[in-house]
Amino acid sequence: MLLKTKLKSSDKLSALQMLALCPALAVTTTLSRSLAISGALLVSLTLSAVLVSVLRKRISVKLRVPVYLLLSSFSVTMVYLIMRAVFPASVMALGIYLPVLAVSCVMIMRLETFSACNTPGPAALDGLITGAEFSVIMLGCGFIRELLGTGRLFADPFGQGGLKIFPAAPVSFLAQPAGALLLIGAGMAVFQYIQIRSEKKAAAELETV
Amino acid sequence: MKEKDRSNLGDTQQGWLTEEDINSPEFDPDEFAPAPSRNAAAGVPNMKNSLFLVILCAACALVLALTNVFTVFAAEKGEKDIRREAVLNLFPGCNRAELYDTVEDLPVYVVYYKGKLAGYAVFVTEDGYIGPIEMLVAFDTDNKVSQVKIVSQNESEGLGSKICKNKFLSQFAGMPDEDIEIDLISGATISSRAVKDGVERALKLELDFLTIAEELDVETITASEIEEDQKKDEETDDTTASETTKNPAVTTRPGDDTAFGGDNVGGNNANTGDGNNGSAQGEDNTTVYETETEEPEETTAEETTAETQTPQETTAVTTSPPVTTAPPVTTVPPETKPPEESTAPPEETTGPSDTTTSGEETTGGGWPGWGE
Repeated sequence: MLLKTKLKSSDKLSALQMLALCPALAVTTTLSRSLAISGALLVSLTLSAVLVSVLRKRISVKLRVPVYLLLSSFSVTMVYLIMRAVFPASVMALGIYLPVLAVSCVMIMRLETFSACNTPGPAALDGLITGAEFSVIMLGCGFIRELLGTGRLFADPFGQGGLKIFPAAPVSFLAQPAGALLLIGAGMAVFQYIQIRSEKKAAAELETV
Repeated sequence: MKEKDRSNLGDTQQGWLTEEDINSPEFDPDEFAPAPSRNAAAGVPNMKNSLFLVILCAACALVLALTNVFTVFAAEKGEKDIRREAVLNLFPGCNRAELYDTVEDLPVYVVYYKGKLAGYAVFVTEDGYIGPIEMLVAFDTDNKVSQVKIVSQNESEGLGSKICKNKFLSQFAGMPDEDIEIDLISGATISSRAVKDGVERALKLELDFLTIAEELDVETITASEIEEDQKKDEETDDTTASETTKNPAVTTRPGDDTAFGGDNVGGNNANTGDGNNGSAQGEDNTTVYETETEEPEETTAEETTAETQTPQETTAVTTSPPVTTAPPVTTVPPETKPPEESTAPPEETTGPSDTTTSGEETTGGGWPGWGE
């Protein structure tokens, strides 16, 4: 019951969740960079969600925010340290945007709204689902921006190499941060349209019943 | 006021619920009630909370420190490998790059050609229009800029990203000379000025090639000498190739032909090559190098006069470096040239030099994506 209510209530936050896509503007210029950042977020979000839900009874109301920040930065640093050893190129290319995930609002929000009042199992699941949603958006953004912004695909994190699909960049504007903003706006519009249409459908069904 | 604020803290959790949710019959207010505050008395320091935070911080720090200990070696190695490869791309033919020192936070790499110091390069990061631009400034033996390459940048596509083009970067060659003026790119003034500032910062370090060589206690080699040496290597390889067709007991290793010209093979050598490997190559090099003083005239004489004389002369050369002669393999590698080619002297002499220059051009292109 609780889980259902919470998930339902968080659905209505989709407009606010958009704020969590801030890193998308800077990072998703290529598919490989999007992959690196979304993988890092997926793992660190799950890890910090589990930690918070394990410690949820010990965290007093007063200490809430510092503890969430501590645990999220702990898990992000952990992922950063491991990624630095395994994928040094992507960490070098991402620069500051990987460690800065620690204060990503999607992270703090999920910790605050879900992990803080759930057992580790559902909390981990929630972290995975949220991370996957984030990854889908980031990867889509990276795919479109790389394909149309640079005319290439599968370049390395530094933006070099890759398959040449178009002879020149068709919409080179998309490779810039403003292009990402535009892309996310368009995506949100499509999302809202689908949501409103399904709501209208449900309302029509209710009326007929 | 303070107490009121505290009692409201739990409301932020309820804030996500709308009135609909709260009014619904399934809603249980107890579920969403904030946890009963253990420190209701305001102003009284709560040792329990402080202790909890301290212990949590200490535990996190400990785990992170342990992770760092286990990963830092691999991380540094990976970072260095990436940098090394970038450096080696700027020095055609060289096969080993090492971190020499970090001067004013700028990593300085030295490059070796067969164990001899061939040049050095500095990594500089400057703030561009959008983000940091990391560039690599390569210096030759005269302490002059030989090449500048952009390692990573995030400038506007089509405007600022033009700083990666050779047309702009080649202006920096020979930089400390007073009369060199850099044309900035129109539409990308800030980006191109950042590159210029970066190169000037690298120049301000005032590193000296000879003092570096002295400090490292190694011999030096200039770019033109490397070119000569490479040419010579290719010639010896050609002669051995023509010989192997006659007596198949001695063959050249197919990798050697490309090892001195190609970048990728050189990079691999650098990754695997430790001190022993480098010194061994250095010894090989000196043996070849000593014979070089008399050799060029002979080879030209041979090639212009007659082909029949070559075997006697070349065996003396080719058997001395153990690199070119591998343990007897009966199969002839497909790379070895057919003997007909060596009978045409004029093309043969120009041939190797052509290949070396073309090799330099491809390596000069550096990052494949940006060379247009």
